[in-house]
Amino acid sequence: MIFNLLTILPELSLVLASIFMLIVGVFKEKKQKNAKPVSRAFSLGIYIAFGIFFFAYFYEIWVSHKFHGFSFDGLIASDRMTVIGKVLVLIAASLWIGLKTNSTHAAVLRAGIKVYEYPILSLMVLVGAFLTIASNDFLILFLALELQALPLYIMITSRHESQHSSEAGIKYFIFGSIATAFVLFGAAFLYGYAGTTNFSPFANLLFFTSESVYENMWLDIGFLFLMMGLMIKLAVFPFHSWSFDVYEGSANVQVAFLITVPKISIVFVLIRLMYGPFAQLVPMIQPYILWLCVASIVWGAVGAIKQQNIRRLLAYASVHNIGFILLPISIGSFEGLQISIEYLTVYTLSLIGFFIGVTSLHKDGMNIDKISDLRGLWEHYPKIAILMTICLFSFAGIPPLAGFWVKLHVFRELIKAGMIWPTIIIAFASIVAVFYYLVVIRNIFFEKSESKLSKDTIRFDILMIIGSILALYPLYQESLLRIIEYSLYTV
Amino acid sequence: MITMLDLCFYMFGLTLIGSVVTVFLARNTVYSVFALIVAFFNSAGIFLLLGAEFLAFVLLIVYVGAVAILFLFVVMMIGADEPLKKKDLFKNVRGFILAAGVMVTEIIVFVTGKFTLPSATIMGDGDSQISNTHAIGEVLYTKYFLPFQLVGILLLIAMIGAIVLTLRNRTGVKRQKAKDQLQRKPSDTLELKDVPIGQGVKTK
Repeated sequence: MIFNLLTILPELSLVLASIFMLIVGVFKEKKQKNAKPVSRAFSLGIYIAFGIFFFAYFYEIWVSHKFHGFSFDGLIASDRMTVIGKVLVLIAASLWIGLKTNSTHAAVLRAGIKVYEYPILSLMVLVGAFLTIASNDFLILFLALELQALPLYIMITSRHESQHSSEAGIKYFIFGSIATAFVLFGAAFLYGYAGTTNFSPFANLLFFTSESVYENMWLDIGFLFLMMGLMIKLAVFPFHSWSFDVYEGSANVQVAFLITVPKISIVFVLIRLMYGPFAQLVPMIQPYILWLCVASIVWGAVGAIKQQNIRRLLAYASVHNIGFILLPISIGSFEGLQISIEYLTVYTLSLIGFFIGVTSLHKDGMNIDKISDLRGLWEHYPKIAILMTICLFSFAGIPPLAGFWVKLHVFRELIKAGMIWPTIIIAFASIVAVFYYLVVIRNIFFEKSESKLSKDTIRFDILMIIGSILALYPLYQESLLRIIEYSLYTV
Repeated sequence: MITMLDLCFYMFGLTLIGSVVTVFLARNTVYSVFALIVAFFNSAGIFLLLGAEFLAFVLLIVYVGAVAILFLFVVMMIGADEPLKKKDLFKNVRGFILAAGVMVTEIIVFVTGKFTLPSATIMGDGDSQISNTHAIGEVLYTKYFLPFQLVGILLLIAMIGAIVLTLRNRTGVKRQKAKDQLQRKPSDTLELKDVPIGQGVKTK
């Protein structure tokens, strides 16, 4: 019995913070609650406390490497990969929590989210995402996936004035439940095969009985269902159909959260499953994942051409990019794994930069909804226009920017693995994808607008950092890859 | 060789699948709830076959006794004005057929040549003197401490969600304010006047 609380220190501190906020909420007047969720000093306190706890976790696991391995009887994994996953989730989430210290607060209010519990729920999503990354047991995986999804359902549905909000919430809820059911079904079969829910024994079990692996149908079906359940959550083609309506019906700030945090954590758990316990089964499922990824890259590129709504466009872009993230994983090589995490990092940063721009803008008191709402941005706010353009070009893969290099790495890895046809297909698909990013850029720069855009106070420093990270990628890509490589050796 | 255990298992299993299919195909929602109750009973039966009596009866008590009855209340209160048409039931299914097709193909490819019908066995060690509840109690707060706490957090979130999504401040609705009522004094609203006989009181 190893009761190592340090390995769940970030989760623990977030849970305590959110319970504390709930208690504070009880003593607040109703009117006060609607106006400002949490006071500035209070939220700053939460950030600082969490920062200290997270740094302690980071230091113990990454630097001093003291608590490496498993804790809670093997339920929780703590290695450098969990640290890198948690840091990535934290980068993606920290701006969109909806606490008072950041500029998203105005956008949250403008979206009609007047719920006091909104930041508490977003902290809970973070707890779920952290635990998903650290899970080493099907039981924890299931609970963490639910812990990550349940607050998201509530957050999406919490805009009382909007009809689209409840539609999106119901759709997300139903598809999330189906995905969870798939994961559970697969886990049940795998439990039936091995007699354990823990990931670690599977590796030995499958390694030493590798001949009979292909003979056992229940093991195969279990693994297949597990993968499909996670792919529904990731919105990979053909399980992508829920994502468009869900994203369209949510507010911009919510989509920024929704499109990054759960996906990062699920990609990390996929990596843990495919490279740890089920490495023996991966060659079997590999062609399916490969072609599903190629299909989602093509579908995400072609489907987005006609879209007018900016969130729908990003939903297609997410289907497109998730294909690129999973493709290198499906190759099954160590380099592929590295490149997948690299792509995920760059994609997340581009999304954050784009969303900081979009959420800070509003037109006639309404959030940006259509692509045409961005017209005239270059005239009024040239700085935001330039930085959003950098992010969009990075999505599209225009040469000096980060998006180009990571796509190049994916292509290189595919060709090295001898997959010529998939490479050609996805190369053409990403040319198609450039078109719709250019449509957004044309609206920003060249179209005249009828009504004036306005903006909130915006954190230019964050935008500048993201812009320069994306622009100066070649300078540090070696060290980024080395960090990722370093983190993965311990898996 | 089909044993009695197999027979029971397949009976419970087939009835379970049948009733679950009825849940989503029934056009009257009340029938759906009843089919769900049948499904719960059958899964309790399967738990019994597996030697997990405690889980079986907890399933019956919690799901049939509380959850399904709650469903029934909700369904009857909402009231299905017009039952779903079969046409509406199968609207917009193209995407799902595609997804299901992909899955079915993969399963067929995987399963071809390896299919065996499993036979039922009683899990766990039947010899041990430890009862079902004892076995659960031994690991619940020790080995599975963390999942147990996580379930608690999940329930907390579910409660927050139920309150957040249903509680809204409606304006223009008259409410009782108990605090104001209790703090009312006669002097706030009542004015005592000395009325001279034959003159009356002038009102403002």
